[in-house]
Amino acid sequence: MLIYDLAANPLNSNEWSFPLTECFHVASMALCIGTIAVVDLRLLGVGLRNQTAAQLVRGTEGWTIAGFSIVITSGLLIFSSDPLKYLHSAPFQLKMALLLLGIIYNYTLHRKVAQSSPPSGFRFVIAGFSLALWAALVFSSIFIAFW
Amino acid sequence: MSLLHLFHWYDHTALAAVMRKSTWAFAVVEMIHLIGLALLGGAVLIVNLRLFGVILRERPADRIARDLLPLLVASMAVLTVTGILMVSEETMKCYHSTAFRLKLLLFVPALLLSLGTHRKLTRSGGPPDSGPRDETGGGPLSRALAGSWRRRTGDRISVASFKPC
Repeated sequence: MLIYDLAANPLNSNEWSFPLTECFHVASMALCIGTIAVVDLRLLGVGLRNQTAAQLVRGTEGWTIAGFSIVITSGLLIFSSDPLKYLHSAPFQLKMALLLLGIIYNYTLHRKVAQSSPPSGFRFVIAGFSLALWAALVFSSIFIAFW
Repeated sequence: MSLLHLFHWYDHTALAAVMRKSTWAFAVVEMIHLIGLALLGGAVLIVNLRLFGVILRERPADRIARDLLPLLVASMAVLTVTGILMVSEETMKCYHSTAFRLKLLLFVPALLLSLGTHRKLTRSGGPPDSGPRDETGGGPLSRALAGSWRRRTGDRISVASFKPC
């Protein structure tokens, strides 16, 4: 039987490694959500009104992908520090579901709307749902600590 | 009143008591704080990437900075207010924390530099196609400092949750 020794994980044995990984996780989460939110706000008519949403998507997509890559990599490292605790945590399960939904939504419907010129009402719904989705993900992340 | 007295006073306010007692209050404030951080990160990143000439090259940086200024100011206001509320959870721990002091020390120059860069750009004026004029030296430094203040040490308690100090 394969036994995973939590104490052998560097994130549990080194005082600095966990907070440092968490710093990268939070900063990269801010990066990807921030770049998506700027596009959402443009769709809502706030912020960069002299640029089209399509221009903003083109300008920020590389940074959004970089942010997602670091979030997922650092998230997997953090998960490895205590897998059972996270697996049994309802907020963590919700966070994973929201992350999956958010990524699919961002690269399908959200992207399509940002790169086209839909009626303003539909644009508002798409941007509003996107902002609500990412806010819910942040909220579920925070609640992992309190559950 | 010294800084220590100020922290002692804040630690004993009704607000601090509420924040300590309520799980939901802290979590909601922290969520707003993180969303403010994301919005600030997005706004600072876009302006600085434009200054580097990486994105939105067809638009002048001063126009982009002007459009994003309300978002920058609003997100900084949100971060400051929610940050003050979060400190009330562990006021004295924050006072004695080196990381918290470093964070505040970095926050001030990052704030001044970001607002200074925006102010300089938005006052520079000029025609919309004057891209090279906008390549000021404030961008990379601004980005580095703004990135620095966002870095913080997290309590070892959750994936993305952190205490103020």
